[in-house]
Amino acid sequence: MAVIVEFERHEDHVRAVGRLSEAEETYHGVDKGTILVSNTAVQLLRAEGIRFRVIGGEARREEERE
Amino acid sequence: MTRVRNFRPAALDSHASLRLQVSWNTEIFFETRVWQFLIFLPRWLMTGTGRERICTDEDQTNLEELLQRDFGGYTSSTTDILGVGHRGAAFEMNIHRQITVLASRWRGTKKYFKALRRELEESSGEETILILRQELVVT
Repeated sequence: MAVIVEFERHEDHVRAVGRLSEAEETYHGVDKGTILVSNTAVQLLRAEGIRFRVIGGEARREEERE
Repeated sequence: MTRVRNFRPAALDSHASLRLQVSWNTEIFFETRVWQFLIFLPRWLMTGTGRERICTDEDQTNLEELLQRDFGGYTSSTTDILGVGHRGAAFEMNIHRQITVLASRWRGTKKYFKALRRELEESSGEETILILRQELVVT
């Protein structure tokens, strides 16, 4: 499932790009500081302690249920 | 080659234009022809003992944000492309990140990517940055 995430801080965006590249994850740029990633990638970024905001997709619905 | 400096997106400012972006005209029933550019961003030079960084995470982020600004989106590919070849007498192996972008077919687009290639080569210290162009038909 695809998820749109937004980084408020440039440092978090840079860290995410590095981690996603290392993990060979595909992502798509959709807006400034905002990318479309897989749910797996979201879990990966959370595990790294990278700060971001989910603004669309399945992960957001899960957060709302919690 | 040794990395020279950070990638500077500002080097492309004079080439930015709304005409770079694909015009998705839904009112026309004819097919839309676009250019797809594949940018092979060298990330790591493989050495006998490990790997050395060529372009950094910051360079990749700044390049992708630039493409987002000027083309409205991009895809950063899952496949790290392995490039193998000779540099003089030495044998060299690089790992690349493939970044794909769709653009309008326009003379300014060619100039933009020539300038982008020059900036990437000057900042990374690489003799050649591979940027491929192919025509796609959107039906």
